[in-house]
Amino acid sequence: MLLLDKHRPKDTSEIFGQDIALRELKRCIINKIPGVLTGSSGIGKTISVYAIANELNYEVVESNSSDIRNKEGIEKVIGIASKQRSLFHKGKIILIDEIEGLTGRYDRGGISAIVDVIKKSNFSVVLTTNNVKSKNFSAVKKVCNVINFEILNYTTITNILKNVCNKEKLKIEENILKNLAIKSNGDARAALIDLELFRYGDFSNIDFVSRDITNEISNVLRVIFKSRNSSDIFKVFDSLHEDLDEINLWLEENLPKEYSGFDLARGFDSLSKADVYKGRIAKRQYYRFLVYRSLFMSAGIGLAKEEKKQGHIKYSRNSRILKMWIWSNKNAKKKSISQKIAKNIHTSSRKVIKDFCYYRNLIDSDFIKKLELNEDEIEWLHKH
Amino acid sequence: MEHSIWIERYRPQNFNELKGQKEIVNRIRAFVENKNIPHLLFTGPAGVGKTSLILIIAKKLFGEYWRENFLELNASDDRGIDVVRNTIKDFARTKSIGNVPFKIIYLDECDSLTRDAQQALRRTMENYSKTCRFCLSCNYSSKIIDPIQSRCSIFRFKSLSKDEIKEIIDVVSKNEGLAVDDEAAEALFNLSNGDVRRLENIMQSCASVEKNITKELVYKIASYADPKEIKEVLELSVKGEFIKSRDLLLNLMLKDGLNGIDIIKQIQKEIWNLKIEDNKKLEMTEKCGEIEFRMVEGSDEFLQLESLIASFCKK
Repeated sequence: MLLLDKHRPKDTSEIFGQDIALRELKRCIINKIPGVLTGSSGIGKTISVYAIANELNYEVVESNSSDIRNKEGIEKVIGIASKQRSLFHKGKIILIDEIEGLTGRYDRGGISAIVDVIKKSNFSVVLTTNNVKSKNFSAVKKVCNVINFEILNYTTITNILKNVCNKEKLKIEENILKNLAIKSNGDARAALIDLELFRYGDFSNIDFVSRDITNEISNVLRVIFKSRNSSDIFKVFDSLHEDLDEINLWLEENLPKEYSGFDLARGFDSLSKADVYKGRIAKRQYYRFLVYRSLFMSAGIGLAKEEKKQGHIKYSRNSRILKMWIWSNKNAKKKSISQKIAKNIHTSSRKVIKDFCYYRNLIDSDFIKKLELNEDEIEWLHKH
Repeated sequence: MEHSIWIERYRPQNFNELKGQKEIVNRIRAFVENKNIPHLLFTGPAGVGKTSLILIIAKKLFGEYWRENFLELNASDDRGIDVVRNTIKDFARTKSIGNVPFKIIYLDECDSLTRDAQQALRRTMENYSKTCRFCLSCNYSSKIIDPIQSRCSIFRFKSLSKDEIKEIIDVVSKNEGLAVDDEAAEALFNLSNGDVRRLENIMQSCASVEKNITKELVYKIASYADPKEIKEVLELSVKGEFIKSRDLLLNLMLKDGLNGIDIIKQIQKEIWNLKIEDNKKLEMTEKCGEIEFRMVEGSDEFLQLESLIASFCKK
């Protein structure tokens, strides 16, 4: 189980740094005033709702972006729940999470259906969003009380991490926790996920330092994969002082974790176009092509998706280059043998490697003598 | 000493032993008899006799000194401008041995010479034409820059016909004491695709298992060279299993040391064996062609292949 889930706050006393918002939210829920929680990711919007529900012994009926949320979908799930009394609980909270995920064409009519539910509901309705200012939500704002969740400062996040470490009996130096907190940019969830890395075994400072770039790149990837706003994407992409080849590898490795189906195909198409421009730069030494390469790698991939995938995904380093290196060492003997064979049969080593299975069968002791293989190569042949 | 590898054992040693290419052989024979040849450019598919013919030329022209007067380079192994500038120049600079006034430099698989190297070669060909003749071979003459083409007599080699392939099968099986029935011969022709190198490799591999060569044996042996995993890669991708598909592909490429072009050729063939609608196959083939083009233009072959299988994943 992730630390994040294991130590999810059970009541409001365990939620740090959101005192004002929590008080306001509780008041709304008790008085059945509809509320919309706004604030960036990972600062405690959703867990606050659950913590309050727990305290009040209320049931939570949740709809998040993994559900179909067009007009019919909302009416079917939420509409019915908003009228029926809860069987085992004192009250009920209708939670409609991540309403920004509702703007896609599959969720057509979703917003007005939600407004409808809010008006007719017998229970308190709570919505969450990263940005209530978006013009899509003006109808929602008219009927809801807006509750702001603040970005957490790093001392608060450090305290959250410390709290979890104490419960887990993890001994981690305070300055490492502090660094994790700073790197998280006010996102407690991200910080807790990063803490996961330090959960098992020995953690040296060296490990942490090397994660600096990783964190920076991860943030850029997150914006590219999650945003459809090209100016946001350009801004973070330009802020990253990292070799394009390196970013390219990160994108390649992590794209399939975020995108699937048509989005994945379009995303890779864009990455492939970027690579074509890289090839053209090398061939023609015409560096203006760099612009196109960067564009296809950033906005091209960002705009390839119809809808973003929700949830925090941990990005990983691309291991392809390392694998290539390992294999090219492993295959070095095969290559040198192939070169020697090629010289003897008037062809290229490439062709020999391609049909190596034939030549492997054909090599007898006479031919090996002629090839003048060295001991290592002969040993390799015996093994394979 | 007799060669243990059949493609060398059965390499033609005389003009009349070379199958197919009758007209080319007649013209070349006339050059050789007059002890003078121009620069030559041989184009045509693999395994149809380009290298064999040049070896015959060298042996006929130079006799016992053929090794001293003949330099064979494979552009796919010895590519780049350094080879042209150093190895070739060093060889071309010195006088030939014997009574022929020039040496021969044979550059095989010239398709893979960079344009820079070709440009350098063009000057070298001119500067040393008194002491040296160049013979270039490639699969497609379009990859050779015009100035070089204009300096050479161009000979286009054809794939061997079914009858010619069957003649070779007969010669080899008679000599090696093999029994090859008609069905097996047909299978050998289909799989070799007119490529004699491939034909003789398959035959020798079969013979190392069984002297009595059947159709089944031929297909079994030939399937080793066409990795089955490619089919699996495609099937996984069509099912939408992108990550599994790409991991398998990467392992396959690394394990066998195959390059992107080899792989994409296999994919293009294998698409038509999938159990999906023909329209979909055509669509996949179109993408395949586009990606092969990008692979040549771009710089990271694996990335391009990933993009290809991602396009197969979409539902």
